[in-house]
Amino acid sequence: MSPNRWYWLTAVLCVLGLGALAWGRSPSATVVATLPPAPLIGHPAPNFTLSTLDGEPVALADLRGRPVVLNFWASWCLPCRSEMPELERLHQRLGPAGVVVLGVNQAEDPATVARFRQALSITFPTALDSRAGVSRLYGVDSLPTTFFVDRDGIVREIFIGPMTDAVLADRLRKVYP
Amino acid sequence: MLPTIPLGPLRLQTYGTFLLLAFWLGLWLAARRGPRYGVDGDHLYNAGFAALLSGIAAARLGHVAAFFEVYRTDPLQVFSLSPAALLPIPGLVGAGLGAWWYVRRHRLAVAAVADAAAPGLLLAAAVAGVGAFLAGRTVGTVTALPWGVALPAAPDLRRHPTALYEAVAALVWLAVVLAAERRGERWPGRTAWLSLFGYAALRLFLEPLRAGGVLLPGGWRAAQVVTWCALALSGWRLGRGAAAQRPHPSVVSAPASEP
Repeated sequence: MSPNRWYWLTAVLCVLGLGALAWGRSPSATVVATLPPAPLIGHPAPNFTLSTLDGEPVALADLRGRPVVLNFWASWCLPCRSEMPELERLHQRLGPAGVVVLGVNQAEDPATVARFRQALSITFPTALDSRAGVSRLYGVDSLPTTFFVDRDGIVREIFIGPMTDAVLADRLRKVYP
Repeated sequence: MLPTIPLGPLRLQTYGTFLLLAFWLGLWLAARRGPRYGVDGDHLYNAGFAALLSGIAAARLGHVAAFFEVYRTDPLQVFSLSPAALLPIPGLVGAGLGAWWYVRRHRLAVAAVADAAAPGLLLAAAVAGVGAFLAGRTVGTVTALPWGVALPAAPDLRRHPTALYEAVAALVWLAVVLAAERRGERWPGRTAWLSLFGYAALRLFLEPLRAGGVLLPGGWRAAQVVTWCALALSGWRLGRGAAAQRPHPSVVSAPASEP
């Protein structure tokens, strides 16, 4: 291709590219708050109500206005066990600042959950998903899976697998800058 | 969507697995093409691994710098095997520097290495795109088009399969680059600049179909700003390269000298 053709082609694409830049900036491409609830980044987190180990009801909608770290776990899951101290440290450090760490235990009996929490000195609240209905609602197919929900109730990050302190701090920035 | 691949009692992260596959296939193609440009295939494998190691090291160092307080209280986390404790931008810079170091140390021609490697990068981008699509990582904006894909988590909502668009576009551009290499003029660096030109263009125009992404102040998408600059630079460089290949008018029109 001749040099002039390259220059013209580049100029035309760059001008059209400015249009693409403006298009990418338009709210229609970025605003997602009107989307239906779904366990997907950018969607409102699906609401649920479960009981904690103490028998207290906990509803996700009631936590609106506070960043929520929603962690699905089970006692038989070794990676879940490995990240529990990190989640507990986060709860101790940022709980007073309003960050909610909420564990969701997947389909285990309360006695097992209580023993596990006691063994690892867990103090953040744990909701009992006895029939795994909330796990299904959130499409959790491997443990641990953690959803980071911002103050407006929007899912901002999903992490599958165990988190170190550094990974947790990194992902938390999406909901607690 | 397939975020994890079941493998007996284990589950592999789909995206991570496809990233490894992309790296291997990209390197394989680059090494196969090396001899055409006078570069031994082993050098390309070595440069690729130098890039991988330096990229991982830089990505982790970037993470340490960004979350220094966390690492200060538990320094052993610097050596954590978690692939999530990496920052992509420092990683890309580190990978580039690692490859650059290897190429300079072995006195290889930079343009020849780039020409051999660039189609491999396009192939790698295509494979990584398929992985991102399967893992549901790159979510597109909502669409009513018939090929829109509904994610299992929101079955009533169809979205652009953006990652798949990018994968297909990278493959198509790979075919164009390979065809142009056989037919068009050849000058050092042409294949690399041509690869960048097409890839930058396709990312620039497909990016608005992605939901989310890193935004700059003012709401501009960082990926688009970078690709717009890459498009302009590579187009200018392709024009200059083509001009250098054409005989100067004075040479063409000069009368044959008398003996």
